[in-house]
Amino acid sequence: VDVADEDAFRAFVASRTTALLRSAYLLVGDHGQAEDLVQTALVKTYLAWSRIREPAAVEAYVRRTMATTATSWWRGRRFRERVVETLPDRADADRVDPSLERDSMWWHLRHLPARQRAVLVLRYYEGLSEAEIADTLGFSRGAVKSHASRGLAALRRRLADDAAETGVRA
Amino acid sequence: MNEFERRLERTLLARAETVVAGQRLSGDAVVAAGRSAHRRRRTAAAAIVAAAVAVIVGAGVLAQTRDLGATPVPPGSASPSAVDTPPAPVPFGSVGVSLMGYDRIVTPEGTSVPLRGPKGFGSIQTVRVPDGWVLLLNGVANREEVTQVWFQSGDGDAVRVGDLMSYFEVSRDGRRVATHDGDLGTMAVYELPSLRRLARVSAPTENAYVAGIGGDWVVMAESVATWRESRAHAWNIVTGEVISTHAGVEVWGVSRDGQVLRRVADGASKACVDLVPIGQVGRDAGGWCTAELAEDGMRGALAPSGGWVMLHDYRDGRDHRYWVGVADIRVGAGRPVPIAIRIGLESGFFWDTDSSFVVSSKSGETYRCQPVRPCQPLIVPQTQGSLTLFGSVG
Repeated sequence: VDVADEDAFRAFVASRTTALLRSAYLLVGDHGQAEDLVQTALVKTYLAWSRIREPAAVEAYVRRTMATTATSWWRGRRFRERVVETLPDRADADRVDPSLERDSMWWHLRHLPARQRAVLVLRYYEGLSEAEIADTLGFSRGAVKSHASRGLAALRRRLADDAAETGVRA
Repeated sequence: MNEFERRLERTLLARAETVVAGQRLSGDAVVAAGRSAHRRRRTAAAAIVAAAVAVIVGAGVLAQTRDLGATPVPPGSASPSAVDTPPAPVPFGSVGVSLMGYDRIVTPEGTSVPLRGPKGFGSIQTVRVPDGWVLLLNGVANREEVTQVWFQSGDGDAVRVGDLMSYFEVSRDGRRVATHDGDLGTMAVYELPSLRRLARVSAPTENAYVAGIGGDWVVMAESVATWRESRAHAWNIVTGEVISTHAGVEVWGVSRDGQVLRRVADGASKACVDLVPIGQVGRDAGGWCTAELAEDGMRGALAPSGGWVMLHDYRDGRDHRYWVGVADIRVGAGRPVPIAIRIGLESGFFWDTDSSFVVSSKSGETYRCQPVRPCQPLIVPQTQGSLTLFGSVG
């Protein structure tokens, strides 16, 4: 990577880090891990910088790398060693409270298998189509459909279970 | 989009906004890391050759010992005795440990063995068994990142056990390997070195992974985003029986005689650690129960002998709190016994014998440790960021 390219890369990092960190946080559910994930993806991007001809393709490359890295189950061992946020005290869940709803949804989202979670994040946060998600994650469209459907079903079921326990409407 | 999906969308947007704008990753730091990665790629091949020479002649770069004594001791334990003068460093091969790097393995005897798997693939996990090596290889094929389990025999032939495998576990006699079987929905056990499939079963969940193998049992856990307690599943490969636990169990290891070390949450502020036969992994918690064991960063690993537990506390890198302790759970009370090691622990370690383990410090040094004895620094090549040590079974 020559000097001019490195300057362009630095400019990309400066302008896009916050947006990338937000996506990464949704993928892995932890701020520290999100920073690790973005850094990992950016280093891979730096190594591939000279091969990525289209400037518009750079962000897609980083996002694809983040998503595939986050869904690589073999990262699990490393992540198992990491500290994550603690569960909000759900014993207070005795009333309908929008912030609680968000927390419950978030809690259950974080406990979905990584691929289901990634598909839901790409669909409902990034706004990608099924075809785009399939391309990003390297899955078939059928697999994307299946992960989305199973993830949504699991979220509905778990939120309904919460509601049954606490008397809060799901 | 229905109301439930809109609610999910709102949750994601609200959560994303908790990441505040600001420069937390500098372009300079990423460029420096990228340059370093580029250099490592170029130098790893040379380093691994040098490593083979280093094993034989006992030369090399000395592992440094500046981390010793730098970190706090485990809460609730007696202070470790003053760390004795560390033993002199020895070449990694002299303690029976092998080295994996780039495209070859260096055996403890100093023999350099080329990897026969796909070109350009690197090993994520390697175990030496009596007839060769079991490897988890990761690389890019047809523009897709793939991971495969391979068996490479001692005479150099390599056989792919299957695609889309996850981490594997090898029995302590080195004769059985358990992993996914071709897709994430099936688990299987293979005989080594024949690779004859002994048994297979549908995975209890799609996020299950193999956590250990002992006797005729395989224990599985579930990967969840938090990497904490989940359900555990014990599968008997002879009868096909699968026993599942309730949520809240964290499997910390399986001994060679099939005892499982578990951490079980006991309320919000206490957790218990105990040893149970692998077929009873779902039974109620007992054993050693303390508040410290419930802490987020607390992790443990069971020595293959079943007699010792290595405890390590991993705190977020921001406050850099790490320590390693050892508890002799055979005494029943579970009192943590200080071990003469106070190393800023990196997450990776492995048992190289029934009662000793090899651990890397945060600053890159490598030690071989046994309970209540000073850790032995190991001489490893300078570019160990690209090289990893691994042990053997059987």
